[in-house]
Amino acid sequence: MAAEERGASAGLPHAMPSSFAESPWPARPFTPGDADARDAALHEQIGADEPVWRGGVIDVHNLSVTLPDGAAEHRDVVRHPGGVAVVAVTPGGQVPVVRQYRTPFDAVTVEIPAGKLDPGEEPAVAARRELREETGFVADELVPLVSVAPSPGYSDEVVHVYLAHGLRFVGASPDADEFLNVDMVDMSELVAAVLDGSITDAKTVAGILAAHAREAALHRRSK
Amino acid sequence: MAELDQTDERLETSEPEACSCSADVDVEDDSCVAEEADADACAREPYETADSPEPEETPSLILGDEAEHDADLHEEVISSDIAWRGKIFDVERLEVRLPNGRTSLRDVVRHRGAVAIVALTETGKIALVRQYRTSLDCVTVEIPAGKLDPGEEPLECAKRELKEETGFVAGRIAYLTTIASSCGFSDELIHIYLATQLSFEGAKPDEDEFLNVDLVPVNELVDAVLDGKIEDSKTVVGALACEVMAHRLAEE
Repeated sequence: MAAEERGASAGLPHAMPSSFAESPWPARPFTPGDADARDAALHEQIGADEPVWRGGVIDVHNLSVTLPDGAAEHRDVVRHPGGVAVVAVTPGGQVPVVRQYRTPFDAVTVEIPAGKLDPGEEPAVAARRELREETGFVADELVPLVSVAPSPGYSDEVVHVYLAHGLRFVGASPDADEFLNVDMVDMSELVAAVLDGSITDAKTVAGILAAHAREAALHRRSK
Repeated sequence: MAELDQTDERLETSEPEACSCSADVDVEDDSCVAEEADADACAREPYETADSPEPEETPSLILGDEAEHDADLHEEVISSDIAWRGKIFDVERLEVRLPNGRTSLRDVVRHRGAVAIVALTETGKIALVRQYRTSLDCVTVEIPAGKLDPGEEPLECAKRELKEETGFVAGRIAYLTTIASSCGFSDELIHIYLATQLSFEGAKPDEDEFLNVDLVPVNELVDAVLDGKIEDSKTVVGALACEVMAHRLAEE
């Protein structure tokens, strides 16, 4: 059967050969957002930005935007103060994790220590504060690991995840209305749990996998 | 239960006092050792004092709501109502009773959920979507994704969004994992799929969707994640999950 006939019988457009392995999309090196010449043309123009609902932690804003084709659109956006989280690792390869009740899921979850930024607070300062308040650990070494925007489709939240080493236990002090328990868990078990979906919290999954990847890369380099 | 003066002593010395239920994390010692359990000191009352108990060493990970004291952490919902309704999410305001008997208000974003797709070509490239995100006021680089339509199955949504955004149809599509994007205030779940054996059939983005698609080698994406150049959580998770899988396959 000729290539075109094969293409037609497979439901592909007649003009496209069935041996067309990839696509019109360019194969190119990774380019960060807004660093590509074509990115500017994707921008929406933001006109009005109105708060439409104010909550205890989050607000909802309605943004009037003009799309690249000139059409008008409204976007609902959750405004969030931002947060931090910490993957703290002991020399024995254990990680403190926090057990707490999460209202949206009506369930207790297992997560890495985390918290919201206080107004004007530097992320690294918040990370140390939350690690100490929730787990009682202070760290000699705290380095940025990965920053995650949990859901940029509707929320401006960004969580800065840190990696902490050189831990010392000094005593926890959670907030008055904060109820949590802390467990020490082997990193290898956490990696398995995030990969098989037993742990679903996005910042925990991202943080644990990033810490594991960094550790694996160091291990390969030292070979 | 730790007394306040014992805590002060620990602050002054570099070696933590040997204490029941404490995990010794002396950096010279290569392991965390739990001292012999004392029944009273082990009693979990997380709300009783400003200082919560020392972390208990567990031999293995216990998942949420499977540990003995997890039930004590639960809040009780007293009342709830939808405080704000939107196009893609609602905000529900709940009045809850906390473990210490006090009441509090919780705002919860109710979201139908979404899917995302790690689409890999035969030559080890991943399909990435460049789009403007109003929430962050910038163009991001993300794996193809989209919100569930009412009543839509995640797998069907994954196939639909992959085709609409990239034009690819997958010969094979497998469920990878699910992430809760921001469980502190939102119930959004993002179901991540792995798509391979891709054939191109023509993209058809929505009317208000403007995007470009790049094919990037997976290892470059992983490097970008570890260099802090990618922030989108589902893309970070998708890329790093690929990385782990690739190494495990290579080791076998």
